[in-house]
Amino acid sequence: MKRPVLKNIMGGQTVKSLITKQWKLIFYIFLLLLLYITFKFGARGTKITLTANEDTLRNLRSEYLSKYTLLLRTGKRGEIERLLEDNGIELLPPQTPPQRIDSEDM
Amino acid sequence: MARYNRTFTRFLYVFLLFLIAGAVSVARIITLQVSRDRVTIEDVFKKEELHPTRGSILSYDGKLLAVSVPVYRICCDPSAPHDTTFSKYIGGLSQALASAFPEHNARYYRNLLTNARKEGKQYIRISRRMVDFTEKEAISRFPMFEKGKNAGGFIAEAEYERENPYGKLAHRTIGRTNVDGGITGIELKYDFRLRGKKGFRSIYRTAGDRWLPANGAPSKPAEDGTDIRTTIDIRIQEAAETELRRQLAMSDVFEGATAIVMDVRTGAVRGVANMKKMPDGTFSESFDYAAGYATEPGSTLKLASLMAMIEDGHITLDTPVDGTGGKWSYAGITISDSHDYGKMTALEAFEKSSNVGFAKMITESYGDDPSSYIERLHNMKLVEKLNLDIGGEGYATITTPDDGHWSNSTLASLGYGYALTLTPLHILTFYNAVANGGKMMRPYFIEDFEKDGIVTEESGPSVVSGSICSKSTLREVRKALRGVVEEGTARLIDDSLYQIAGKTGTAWIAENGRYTDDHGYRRFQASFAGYFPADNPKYSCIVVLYSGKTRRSIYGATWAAPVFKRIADKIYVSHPEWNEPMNSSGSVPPDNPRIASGRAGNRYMPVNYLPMRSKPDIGGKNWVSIQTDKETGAFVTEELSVEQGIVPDVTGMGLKDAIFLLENEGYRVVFSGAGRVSSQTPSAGSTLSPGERITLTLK
Repeated sequence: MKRPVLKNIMGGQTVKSLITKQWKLIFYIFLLLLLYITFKFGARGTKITLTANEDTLRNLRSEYLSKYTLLLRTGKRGEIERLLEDNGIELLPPQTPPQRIDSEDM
Repeated sequence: MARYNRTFTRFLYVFLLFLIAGAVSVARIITLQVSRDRVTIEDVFKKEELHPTRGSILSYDGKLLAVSVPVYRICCDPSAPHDTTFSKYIGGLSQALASAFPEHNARYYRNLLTNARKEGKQYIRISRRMVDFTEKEAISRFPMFEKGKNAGGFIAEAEYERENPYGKLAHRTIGRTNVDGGITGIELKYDFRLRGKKGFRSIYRTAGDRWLPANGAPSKPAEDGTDIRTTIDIRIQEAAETELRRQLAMSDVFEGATAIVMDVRTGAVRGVANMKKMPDGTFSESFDYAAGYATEPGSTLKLASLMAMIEDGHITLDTPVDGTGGKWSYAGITISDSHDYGKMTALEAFEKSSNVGFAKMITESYGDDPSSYIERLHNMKLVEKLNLDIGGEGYATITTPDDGHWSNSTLASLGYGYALTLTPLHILTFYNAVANGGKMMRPYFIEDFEKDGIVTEESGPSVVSGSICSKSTLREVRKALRGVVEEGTARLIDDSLYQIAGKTGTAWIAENGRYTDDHGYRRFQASFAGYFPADNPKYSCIVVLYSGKTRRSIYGATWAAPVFKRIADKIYVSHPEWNEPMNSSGSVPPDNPRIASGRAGNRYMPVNYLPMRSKPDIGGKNWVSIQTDKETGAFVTEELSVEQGIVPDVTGMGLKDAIFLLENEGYRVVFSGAGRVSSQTPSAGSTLSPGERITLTLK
């Protein structure tokens, strides 16, 4: 019995019969494999997008913080007064608060 | 048989093929294992530590007082670019680096990079200076660097640095950090909340040299630090620091000063400035006078004496007292006033700050039982421990009859603010209680703790004492405090716009148990404590200036009170609700106001409600030009058209509207002068591409 089995294997009959009898299963497994590879690459792509978005968010926050702190620094009353003085602009700070107006229309 | 031989031959060939492939694989595996450049597991899979972002410290209205910002170390891998790339861009890159880091010239950077490349270095630092994100982005677009790390050799290593956007403002309160965390102030006290918790995750390398998180591997996200919202109002803080500095600059006799502003109703500290003179003559917030420096307060404590005597029924404001020529000898000491005030009432003694008057009244009231006076002071929570939420509280002490330091003259000294030590914050807490209808609030600096804008824990106000004295006593002492400013030692700061109430103080500072040294030099403490507006107090404030050794006299009325007034003025102008509103009552002014051209806005603009002879027609319009007819005074309104690529007419607009309009059209704006836009270049209607410059002149 061994000799016909070995002969069939060596001759390729075994593989041929496997393919002709089980081609549907083999095709199905092939499709599943394709699907798996597609999803894996898709998930990898999503992870790449996620990581890139995290980097973008981090960069945006960094940019926002850099500009916001600069704005706060330059918006100080003392800074503005100094700029006015340096540019020879004779604007004086207010001595009285704004006056509220009661109006029947409001 | 022949067929068998053919099959066997085919099988042999396939077998040999697999044998060779296997041998090559094994050989390669062995080579990789023994090679020094072999890829290890760490090259493809590693554990990454996730660093938390340190929590921010905010002002009471959410502005950033301390925040961790990313800064970058600019480095280069000079061996990464190809030879042709390097030689093509090195010139341009060197020039660009010289402009970004001007400490060296272009030749230096060229030589640096060229030599490093020759030596095969893969990492060199371009400059010691760390840059922010915006600068880093600009540098990443330099010639050659724009090709990235692998092709251009650009490396930017991120770190987080603690930034104080307002510079040294409230520096002492906010505190400082180093690489290990907070080292002073709130940064130190709440370091455990601010620092957050580290996390970790596993990452693996994929094609394209990307590192991605590994699914299913153990990971823990980093927990960012908690944000802390303080009670500090940045405008009040800046006012306190600016005015204190201005006063200190007037004389070099001062060694230090402090100013504290408190919200009357809650006890929230809206501003606290501390100035200590450094060896180079400048002042910095290196010492906490406000909460940590307890001294004999002097005349500001006459408020407590007056309150105690009235509360215990010993005196009223009309009780007479004799100034006895401005000098009084009692129990071996001589108590003196700056002037001879003669016969006066208790109110006048307070207004004029008579030491003789108060020494006499206190000894007459409590001479038989000094302990009752001490007890009264304790009942009024004068020396109460404040348990500050930022720590660093100095001890308030009071000499008692059981004390070894008590002498026959101690009671008299207590009457005018000696023989006890208080910090400025203690004194202000007491004055704040008087302003707050007798309710003493604990001063606090921390409003709440937040994460992503959501409050996780509230701190907030707490009551020390529901009432430090009776309502009638409170009425009397508030009248006396107002009298000091109306008629007394602080009348120079009386204002018709809003009322201030308070007390001046001038005290000697003891050194080694003595007030005067062998050469006649003394150290002074000039102070003013009070609240405003007096009729409906919103803020209380104390200003204390400490002199060095001097033979001059330094008075609270001339040195501390003006600082108080200037701080109060700055606070006053930002509170229109303190004044009664003006009622338009249908009256119309004779002339129309000037109205700037600009954005018409919605129907809630003031122009829709102000009484005017005639109103400009801006309904439904976006941008309008408003001119006033010189003869009739009527408004001539024209809707401005804004077209892309055509310069709009911004003459007559305020700067804010003009910049808004022009920058939204993509133009760059340069301006000079102040007022409304009087002319523009290029003129309105010209064709101009976005990105080009428009110059505005304001008048």
